[in-house]
This record gives sequence, structure tokens and C-alpha cells, in this order.
Amino acid sequence: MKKGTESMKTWKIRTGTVVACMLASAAILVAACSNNAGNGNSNASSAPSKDGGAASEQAAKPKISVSIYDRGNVPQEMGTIGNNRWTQWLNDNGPVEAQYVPIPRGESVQKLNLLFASNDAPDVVAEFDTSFRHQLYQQKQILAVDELVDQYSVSYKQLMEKYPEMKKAATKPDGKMYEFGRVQQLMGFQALFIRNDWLKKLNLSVPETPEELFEVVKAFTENDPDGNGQKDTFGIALSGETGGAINTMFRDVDWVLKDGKLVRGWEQKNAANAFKKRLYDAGLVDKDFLADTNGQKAQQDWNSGKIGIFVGRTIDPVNLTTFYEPLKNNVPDAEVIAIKLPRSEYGRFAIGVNNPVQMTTVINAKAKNPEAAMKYIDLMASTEVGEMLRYGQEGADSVRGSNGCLKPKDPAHFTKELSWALDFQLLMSQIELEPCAGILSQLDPANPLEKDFLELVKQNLEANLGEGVEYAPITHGEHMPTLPDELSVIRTNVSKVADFYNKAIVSGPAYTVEQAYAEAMDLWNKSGGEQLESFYSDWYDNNKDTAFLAKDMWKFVIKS
Amino acid sequence: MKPSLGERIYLIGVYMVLTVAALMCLLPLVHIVSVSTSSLQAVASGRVTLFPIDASLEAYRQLIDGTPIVRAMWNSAYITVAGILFSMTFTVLAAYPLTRSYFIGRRMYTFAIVFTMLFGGGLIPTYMTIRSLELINTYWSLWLPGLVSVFNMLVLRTSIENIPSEIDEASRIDGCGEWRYLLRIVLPLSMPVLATLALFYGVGYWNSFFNVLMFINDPAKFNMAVLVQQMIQSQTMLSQLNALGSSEQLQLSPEMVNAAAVVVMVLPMLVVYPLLQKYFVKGVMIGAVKG
Amino acid sequence: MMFAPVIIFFIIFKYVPMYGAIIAFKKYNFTDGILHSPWVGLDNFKLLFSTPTTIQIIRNTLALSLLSIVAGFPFPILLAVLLNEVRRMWFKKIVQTLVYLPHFFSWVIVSGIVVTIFSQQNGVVSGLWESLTGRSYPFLYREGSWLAIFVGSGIWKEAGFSAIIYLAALTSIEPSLYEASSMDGASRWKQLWHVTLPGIRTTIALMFILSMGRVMEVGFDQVYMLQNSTVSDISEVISTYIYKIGLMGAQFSLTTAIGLFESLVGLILVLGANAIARKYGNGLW
Repeated sequence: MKKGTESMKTWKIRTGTVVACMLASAAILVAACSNNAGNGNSNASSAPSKDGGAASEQAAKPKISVSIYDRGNVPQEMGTIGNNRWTQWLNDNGPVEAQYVPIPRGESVQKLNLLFASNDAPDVVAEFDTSFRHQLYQQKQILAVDELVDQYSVSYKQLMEKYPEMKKAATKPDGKMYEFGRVQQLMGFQALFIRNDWLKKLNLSVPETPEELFEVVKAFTENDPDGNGQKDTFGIALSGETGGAINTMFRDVDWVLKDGKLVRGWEQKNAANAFKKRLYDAGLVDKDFLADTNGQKAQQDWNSGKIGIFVGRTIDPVNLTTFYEPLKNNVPDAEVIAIKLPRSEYGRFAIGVNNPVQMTTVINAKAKNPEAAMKYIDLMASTEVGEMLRYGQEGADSVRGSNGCLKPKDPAHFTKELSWALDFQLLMSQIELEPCAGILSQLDPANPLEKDFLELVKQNLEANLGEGVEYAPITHGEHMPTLPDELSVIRTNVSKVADFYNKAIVSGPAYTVEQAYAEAMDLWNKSGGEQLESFYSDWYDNNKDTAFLAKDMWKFVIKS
Repeated sequence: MKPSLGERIYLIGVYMVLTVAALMCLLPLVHIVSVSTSSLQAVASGRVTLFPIDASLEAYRQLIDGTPIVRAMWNSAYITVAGILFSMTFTVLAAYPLTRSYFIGRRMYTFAIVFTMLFGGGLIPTYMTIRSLELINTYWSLWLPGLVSVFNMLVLRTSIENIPSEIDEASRIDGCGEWRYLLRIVLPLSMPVLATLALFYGVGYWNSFFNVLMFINDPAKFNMAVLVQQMIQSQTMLSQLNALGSSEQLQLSPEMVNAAAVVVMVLPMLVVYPLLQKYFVKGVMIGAVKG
Repeated sequence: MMFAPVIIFFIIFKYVPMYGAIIAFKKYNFTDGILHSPWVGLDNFKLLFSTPTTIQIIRNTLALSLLSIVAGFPFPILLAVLLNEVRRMWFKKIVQTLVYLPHFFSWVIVSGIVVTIFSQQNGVVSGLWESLTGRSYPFLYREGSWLAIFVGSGIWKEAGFSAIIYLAALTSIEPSLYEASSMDGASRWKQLWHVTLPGIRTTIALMFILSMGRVMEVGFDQVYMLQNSTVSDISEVISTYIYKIGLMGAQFSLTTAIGLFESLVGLILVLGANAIARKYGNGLW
């Protein structure tokens, strides 16, 4: 090891001269081009900046560095994600001077890994990936923040008092709090859309059980619901999130409770896949659903009016344009409703909901000024700042609508100035802005399409959060425990189980669900699956009172 | 001399095979161009095949107006042109000595160089090296680690080795020095290969993506490949994020932006290639002599 | 000497960072860094090779890659040679540019094209097959046909681009050789065998040796975008496996161990290929 460090030192000395040589030889070549680079830089820094007064004030503020996702969607005239109207506003109005370190969204984990490995990581790090944050915790790269919150926080402390679940979600196995996050109202995320006009035309009612669902799917496929005289429709999709919803219908969510213990739900998995196989064998679904890895083909079919039952989303106004508007354009008579998942022998379950308490942010253990970092987080979590970052300046960027909520004054202007600033809102608790933040307040009932979709959102709220609907997993995926290294290798190895079952769906009598199950069990046992079983069941036994579970999620239902 | 029947059949076969191959490569591009110029509805319902439906250039307008793609294109061009110059210089410097028979240890060096093609230390140590040279966030971090591609260097070496030794001997007698020989004789004779390698380096630098993301921090310095990738991702991620959307921005599907971006990325490559082709044309002259 | 800067480049940017490979024998963590993380010996390799799927994955990697290399190797040569026969400049230029195009398409796009062509429900080829045989055939979901599609799509994408090297090599063939053989009354076919191919022999040998070094790196994107559950028995390769492990958290030591293993296999194959090539006087060193 010592030898290693020595060689590193000598190399450092040598490289200095070497690079100098290399640069010198290249300098002539670049001279012509470097003008260009200079321009690029000055462009970036010449973004609108406040004048001298604010600058001298800034000098006294403590400096910290903060990570910010870079999605490459900042319009050129707005500067860059690290230096723009909002970063300047935050630095002018906040207690600290934050320097932003852009992290490419697509490769964020890799980039952050590099920065941590080379001690270059920013003081405040925001990352959605739960297992990455957990890894930072395990490697002692992040600070326990209980005292910081106690001493230096105002708004975040208030938030935590109001929503004690935040602490629950942020607490790591050593009992200390390490993460900061945001709170949102619990909403229907996924929605089970069905073509109501087809139901009416074929004289069918909304399916209440898997058996009824099968019959509806069969009729949708075989009885020419779109009336074009061709058998060119599918009853339901099997790829993408629709396939996932069928699993959920049978509570096939990997880990389920049985007699108070958390166990692997093989029985549920068999039931879900047997149902899918039945659909496939009867020719009621797209034979190529396995080639449709992310469900895009199914979505196309839905949009062109070729699929009767499909899982879309109703969490964001964007979903209107993805799941509803194209369908209405292609098939103006289409009539869509969002229904509950049919009740299977395992119960009736929510299709999918958002994570109401989402952890996003940690403080680097090597931060020079944790107090300043805390103050920055406090700033970003306050309602006023959140509202500003979301809606911009009232009057200039947005105006109050008839419902009293802020809304964009001019959509084009708003897109340019604000729509890319989403990642500055990772600590903004939307629930504090309600009823003005969720999708319900953002759709305009005066617009017929938006009015329809508003109705779908409400139906889906009922379908997911209504009476008698249960959440199939014990908690949202982001609150499940992170596996230690050896176990995550095992989990990777047993992930092939899904392939066996998929094969069973498409192989007819040649390869049945029972055979898939047998092969899956074999792989499971050989790969050390029982270690996973004991990990999860131990975790549940030890943490069921302190962990953030489904019942905690349901505290964030707002009755309207 | 008129070609014989056999030769005619042979030639017809050649032309047919090549035509089919070319068509197989052309059709997907036509499809991509059509997707990028059709309306959202047509694309979303999968109706676009070979011709655009409700043609519009909206996707391109958004690319140019809504994103820093023009800046990124300049960055890409700068990275590529300078990168080609550096890489070509060093590749020649690496390949030429290895062809000299009096250069002692050239077998060892060749092996040592091929070895680096197979074994690497991974991302973190490379990053640390670049960091310790204080080259992070400069384009040197893109040019230096990939300065010499082992593959390209060996291709050039093989081609230099194929220069008949009589030429070397002749020039020695004329009193040609090493540098003079390299510049006056070897390089001009290797033009086709040099053009090829310049193209390979150029394509590599033009498409460089991962290194840019890892070694460059300032988004203003990003190149097109990165920007394009980010746009594709952020479009799909938009719906995952719990956010305000403005319907203005969503006249396009990720698929369309993707298609438009591919066109924008590929177009320069399409323009440059025919220019370089004149260096491969010598092969045709041979055919002309034959006929 | 002009070689000096080259040596320095390779030392700084290639050899020095190689110390990072030692984390394959360590349990890497950020706090201790590469040099000071605790040694674990061969634990990472044991973890890797103790799982039942590993052997299958290595076998798949080798099989897919060798198949792609062996089947794909002649195509660029063929393309270059055919183009070399063409005398009409405009035709040659257009064809050359078009076949070079697919190299720039990402695998996402290529896999989209593959599905359109071969999907069971309404793929072009499946439709043809159905009208001929009366039954539909699941091309994408049978191991044999999937393999053919996998290899074929790779050839389609890269053959035109790889042909460039051979085209360049072809230009160095002495025109006098063609003239001489033409005088001897050799047909074009004979010229192809006796002049053209021997003329690019060294380039072919070089490409072959170098391709051996890449045997363990089946491109991630290609497999990932084309694979589906029914063929996972033959399609799971090292790169897709690493990706899956990576999804579950950064396992630097483990992935480095895999990389080291890949490199070792590549090295052995390159040494072997070079030894064979040397027998024919075309070795790299």
C-alpha cells in the first residue's frame, strides 16, 4: 500500500511537466479555437445578474455547495441550471450563498459516486435514489441531522412537528435522522382506465372480479367494440404498468404479510401469472407484449383506440396529454372512466399511489459549514420560497385564478421562466400549498378536455383511496429497507424468476405456470433466497412499529 | 474489351446486392425523419411509417428555440475538430516508430499498448488522475484520456508497414531524415488510412457522451450528444415528476424529440462522409484500369 | 525521440489509473478510498462464481460474442470488396454513405425496427411467414431465431462502418497487380481471390486479433434492448448482469472483479490469436 502512495506522488510531479509539454505542443493548434470556448463561458456568466448592492451583501454570507439535477432543459437565454434567475433569487434572499453543482439527471448516481470518491461532493446533495442515499449512510458519508434541525431550523422543524412521519421516514437503522424530504397529499398515481363506450355498446358492466374482468376483456377483443367490422382490438394490455396492475390485483407484490410475518408471496405470484396466461392463451392480448418493454406499444394502441383496458396515470397535468388527449383526437366518441381494481380472492387493492413522504436530500459529512447547509435546507422547505419557485413572482409570472390559486399568467412565458426549475422544489412540501398545488387545482374546468380529465382524476382518487381499498405492498417501494451488498447480489440473481413466469405466459401447454413455479423455487433455493426471506421478515419484526408503512401513507389522504 | 457474359452476371450480382443493402439502411432513416416531422397524434397512434403525416417542423423548432442546442453544436464541433488534430498527431507519433525495424523494444511496446486496451483501472482512478492534473471541467479531460486509440494506432501501423521498403531505401539514399521521410513520404502515402482514422476519431469525439457527463461540470460546455440524451430523458421523466406541466411543451412525444435529435446528430456525419470519400476512391481507379 | 510523448501518455492515462483494479480484491468504500479500503482477497470473485447463474452468464457472453464475431466478420470485408468492384462513382458513393448510416442509430431505434419487422402480431416477416406456412412463428421468442436476429441486427448496424477500414486498405493495393493478372486472363472472380483479398490480408489479421480482445464485452445496449424473458436463458450476459447489480446499489469491488475477469479472458484470447497470426507472419508483436 505504501508503495502505491509513493508512486502516486512521483507521478504527480512528473505529470506536471508532461502535461505542460503536451499542452505547449498543442497550444498552437488550439489557439484558433480557444476564442470560441471563451465565448461559451462568458455566455454562461452573463446571465442576468443583480447589481452591486446585492453582491456586497452576498459576500458576508456563508458559502455552501449544493447539487442540482441538470436535465438539459434550461432555455439558453435563462443561463444554466447552476446560474440563473432562481439561483440568484435564492442567493439574494436566502441566508447563504449557494454554489450549484450540476448533476446530470440520467447518470446522477455515477456522477455523485465520483464526486464522493474524490472528496468533491457538494455540501448538500439531492438524489431520488433511495438505495444510493442509504449507501452514503452506510459508508458514513452523510451527517446525522437531529441536532442541526433542533438548533438551526425553523420552517423544517415546524413541518416535522406537523408531520411526524417525516422523522420516521428519515430515520436510519442507528436511530438517527439523516435525510430531508417533502410531503405531498396522497393521490391516485396509476389509474385503471376502461373504455366506457365499449362497455355500453356491448352491454357490459364494470368488472368487479377477475372472472368478470376476463369476460369483459374477451368481449372487447372478440365482439368488435369499435364497430369497424374487423377483429383488431385487444381487451387489455399486458405490458408496462397494466401488467403490473394485474399483479397488484392478486397482491403479487413479492413480500406480503401472512399471520403477522413478512413472507414471499409465491401463491399470489402463481395466481397473477395464471390469470395472465389465460388471457394470452385465449388470444385476448397482444402476442408481442414481451417485446414491449416499457409499454410504449400498448400506449400507442390505447391512444389509437385499439385497447379497451389500460393503466395510465392521473398524478400530473402532463398525463392528460399522454393518456387522454391523443385518444380523444383519434376517437372523438371515446368515453373513458377510471375504475377500481377488481376484487380477487386476496382482496381489493389500490392500483398505485404516490409516495406522500419522499426523502430527497442529505448533508455531506465533510460539509465545512453544516449550519449553513441546514439553513439552506430550511429556506428551501419554507412555504414562501416553495411558492415562489413553483409559481414565480405573483403578477409578473403568475396570477390568481378564479379558485384563488396561482396559475401561469402566460403559458409560453411560464414555460421559459419556470418549467425547468422543478428540481429546486425537491424540499418543497406541496401539501402546504394545498388546495393549490395538486392536479385538482391545475386543471381548468372551462376546457372540455381538462374537465373530462378532472373527472378521471376524481374517479381515480376514489378507486385508489376509497372505502374498502387496501394498499397491496406493506409500504411504498421507497420506504422498503435497502439490502446489504451480498443480499442485493442474491436479489439480482433471483430476479430471473420473472423470466420463468413470462415464459409460462407465452408458451401454451408446453410450459405451464406450475413448471415455472418449480423452476423458480429451484433457482430461489440454490441462489440463497432464504437469506432474503429472513432479512425481510427480521426487518419487519424489528421495525414494524417504527417503519413508515402503508397506514402512515394513508394519513396523507385529504378528504375534499 | 467487352466484358464476358460471366463478368456481366457477376457485376449485376454485385450491383444488386449493394442496392439491397443500401435500401435496407435507408428505410429506417426515412422513417425516423418522418416521425420527427409528423404530428403528435399521428406518432402517438403509430400511424407514421415511411411518410410524414401532418408534416411540421415543430420538433426542430423546439429543439432550436427551447434548448441550447446551437451552443451545444458549437461545442461538439470544437471538441471534434481539436480532438481530431490532437489524436491524429499522437497516433502518428505512436504508430510510425513502431514500424521502424531499428527501434529496439518495439514488440514490447506494442504489447504494452495493446495491454491497455484490455485492462483499465475503471472510472474512479481515471477521474482522480484527471482531477489531480486539474483538468476537470476543461475539454482536456476529453482529449487527453482518449488521445490515442489503440485500435486506430494499430490500423495505421499496419498500413505504414505495407509501404514497400524500396521507397524507404530510396529516400534514405536521397538523404531524407526521419521527420522528412515521415512527413513527405509516409503520410501522403497513407492518406486513405489517415482519412479513415480521422473519421473514426471524429465520430468518437462527436458522439462522446459519458466522459462529458463525468468530467465536465458546466452545462454551458456540454456537447450535443449529452444535450440530446438529456432531452430524451427529461421528456419521459417529466411525467414521473410531480410537477406543473405546461401543455405548450408537450406537443411532442419523447419519441419525436428522439427522432429529431437523431437527425440533428447524424446529419453532420452524413455531410462530412462524402467529403472524405475521395480518399477511398483510388480503389475505383484500379477498376477503371481493368476495364 | 518522437515516441517519448506517446509513452508518457500511456503511462499517465492508462497505466497509472490501473491501480484502481486492486479494488477487485478489496471491499471498497468512500471513506478509505482505493488505497486504504480493507483487503478481502478473492471474496469478490468467490461471490461472483458461487452463484448458479454465473456459469450460464459467462457461457452466454462467450457464445453471443463469438457468434457475432464469426458471423459478422466477413460482412464488412464482403461489402468493401463489392464496393471495390463498382466503377460507377455516384453509385459507389451513395451506397457507401447509406450503409454507413446505421452505425449512428442507437440500439433503442434498432430494437424498435426489429420489433416492427419480426413481431408476432403484425410484423412484416411474420406476416410473410404466415401467408406461406399458414401459422405465425414467434421469431423473437424462440432461442434460435432470436439469435439470428441478434447477430443479424449487429451486422446490419456495423458492417458498413467497419467496411471503411477495408476500403482504405484496398486503396494500397498496387494497380499493376491487377493489370498483370488481367493480362494473364484472370477473371474478376479470380482477381478477387488472388489479388484483392491477399492485398488486405494484414488488415484482416489485425481486425481479427483485436476482435478477440473484445470477446467478453458483448455490447450492453444491444442485448438489453433486444432481449426478452423467453430468451433470457441465452441472452443474459455479463454486461446486463452488471447493470442489474448496479441497479441495486454501487458495487464497485464486485463490478471491478467482473471487469478484471473479462480483461483476463480477452488477454488470453488476444495472445492466442496473435500466436496463430504470427505463424502466418501477420502477428502484432
